[in-house]
Amino acid sequence: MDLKPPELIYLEGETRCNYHWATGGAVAAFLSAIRDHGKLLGAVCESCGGVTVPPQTYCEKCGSSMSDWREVGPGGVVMSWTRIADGYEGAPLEAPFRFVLVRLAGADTAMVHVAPDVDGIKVGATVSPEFKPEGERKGAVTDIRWFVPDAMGGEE
Amino acid sequence: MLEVVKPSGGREPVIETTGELDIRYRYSYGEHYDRFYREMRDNRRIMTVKCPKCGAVLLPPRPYCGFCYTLVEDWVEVSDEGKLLTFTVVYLPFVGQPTEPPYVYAFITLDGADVQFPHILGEVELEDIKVGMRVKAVWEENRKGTLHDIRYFRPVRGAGERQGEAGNEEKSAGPQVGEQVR
Amino acid sequence: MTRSAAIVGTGQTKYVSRREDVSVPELVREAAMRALEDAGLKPGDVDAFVIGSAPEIFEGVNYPENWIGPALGASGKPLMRIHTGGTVGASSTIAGFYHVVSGLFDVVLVAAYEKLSDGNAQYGLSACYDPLWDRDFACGAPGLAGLQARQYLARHAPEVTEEHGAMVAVKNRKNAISNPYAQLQLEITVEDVMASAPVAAPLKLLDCCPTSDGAAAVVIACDRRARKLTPRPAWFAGVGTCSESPYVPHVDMAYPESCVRAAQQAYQMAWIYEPYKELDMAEVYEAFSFQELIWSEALGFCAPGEGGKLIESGRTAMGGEFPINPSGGVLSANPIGASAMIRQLEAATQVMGKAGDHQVPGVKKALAHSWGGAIQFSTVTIFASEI
Repeated sequence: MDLKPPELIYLEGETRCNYHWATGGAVAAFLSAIRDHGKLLGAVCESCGGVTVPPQTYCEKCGSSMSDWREVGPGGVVMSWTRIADGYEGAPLEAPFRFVLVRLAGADTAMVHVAPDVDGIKVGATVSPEFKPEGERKGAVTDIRWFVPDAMGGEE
Repeated sequence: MLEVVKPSGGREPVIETTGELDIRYRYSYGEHYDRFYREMRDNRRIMTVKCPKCGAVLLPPRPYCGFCYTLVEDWVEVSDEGKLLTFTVVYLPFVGQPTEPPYVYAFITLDGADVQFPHILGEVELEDIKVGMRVKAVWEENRKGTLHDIRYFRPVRGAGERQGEAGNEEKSAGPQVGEQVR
Repeated sequence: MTRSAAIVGTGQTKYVSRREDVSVPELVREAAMRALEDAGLKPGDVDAFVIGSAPEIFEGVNYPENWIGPALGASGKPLMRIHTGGTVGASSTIAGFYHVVSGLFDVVLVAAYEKLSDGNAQYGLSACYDPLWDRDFACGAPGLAGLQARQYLARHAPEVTEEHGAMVAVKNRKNAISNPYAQLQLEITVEDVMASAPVAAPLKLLDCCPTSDGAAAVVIACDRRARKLTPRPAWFAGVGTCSESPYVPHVDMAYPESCVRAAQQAYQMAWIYEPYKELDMAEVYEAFSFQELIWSEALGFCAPGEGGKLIESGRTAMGGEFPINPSGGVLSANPIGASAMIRQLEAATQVMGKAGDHQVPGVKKALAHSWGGAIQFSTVTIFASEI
């Protein structure tokens, strides 16, 4: 066998694919409420009563249908977080920043969002969303700029 | 069932979100494509592998015969001329296609090979194309090591060549469908 | 096999070019809940789930089973995702069948879907090809099917002509009128087809399938449960699958060996010696009109080269002695990931006597076929009213 290394090595190229995803009934309402009212909505399961945020038309836990809306938050509790030290392509914020898993008041599920890179972001901390001004909101979760701690310091 | 909440102020609900996937790639040629395309680029010829067990000459070249699972290490030269196995005239605009439609997308059985070679036809009127006709590669002067080093295949003209007719399909050498080679 | 299995419930969504009112999980849930309701079951009654989907690039969301599973009630339960090119819908059902006949699960829900309107079919179809070989030359499914149709016509001319392909399009689009789920329900003529715009000659616009949003689901149960759940289960009598490579010597798109072998496996399992005589109808995956002629030959409904005679005879029309694609086929609705399952769903509902306005009277044995990839995947599933 000829052990000479391959010379042509590789073929480079690029594909750009565009998508427009139908949000479906529940997410449409969730995003519209953020855009128009600066409010966060969850959905209540008709069977197990769990409140899912962001809402779906079905309960992720038990597969039943949702029966009702429930306004949740605006604040919540940090369930977990991680610090992003270096920037990467497609990052939601300029590094350094933190990702947080927030359980909004009244919700049974946690939601991912972003937070500033400050010590006040720790497990158990209470946080609140900072909404962009109404004129800047588009109907996306990024209409919330980030979640900030209600108080600096506090226990781990 | 969840009642759909209507947004206020006459605005439309957010029924879609848009996004884009920007996929950049770098495909490694690997040993077999490397040799195949170097031969096309530098020596203006088509070299590929031949199975030592069943004799099939395979395209594209690869380390194992897909017919009998034998390791293939022998390289042979294959003609840049052959018969048109099938073709279609593409009118549909499609991402990444080699040229503006309409064009002729073809499978060619090159003399000496047992698997079809994909390419396009040129220098031919649509009504003159027949399955089975003989075609020959027209090479680019400036070759880079891709299938585009052949610009297209054109009909072979001149005395003595066989023009294909409907229903004319010859079997080439190598194992036939249904033969047990394992 | 340790035991038998049957389809006891089916569900599907109405196929349209865009469902802007639902997300992918909601679309699949719609079909799945209908299937469960048809079977008289709830998500909690299901032991395992199988989800089939086409390549992620079509909808742009990776590991969709993660996204969709909970919408079907799969949280906390076994879940498996299947992909096998265009045969995915059928392979998923067959995977569900394996789950049940293995003896490990009694009731399995299988769902398959496509939401092409969220993305762009061309990126997905293009990316199926080897970038170092023929990606730049391929033209998705129409290009491949155009090559296939030309090879078939050249081999069998003058007995088979382009008009025979048009006859398939006319028959199936008309059949679709009796199928409330079909997307394209059209009364057209052979002249309409022949005059329609060329796509990849010899294929013209009316020879080609649409792109659709839609989902389908089936509930499969073991023999003991099936007999209790429904008076007429659709028993799996024969199953065959085969894959080959598009790059081996003499791969023959006009008479694919993978289709012949898959059919042989299924016929052997179902003790069928003369398919045309012993089956009552078939649903074949004709994404392009000529394919119905090609599959009819490879499946043994007629001899090679006689596909033209078969369609011309009218025997495969509704009311004929061997209806093919009473649902309208893939020509009338093509949610790619689900299309192969829909052939099985249609064959099964025919056996169950639940096909509504497009019911063929007295169906005891029905065949569902699918193809996929670069015409190298094939599946054949045979349902029977008794085993």
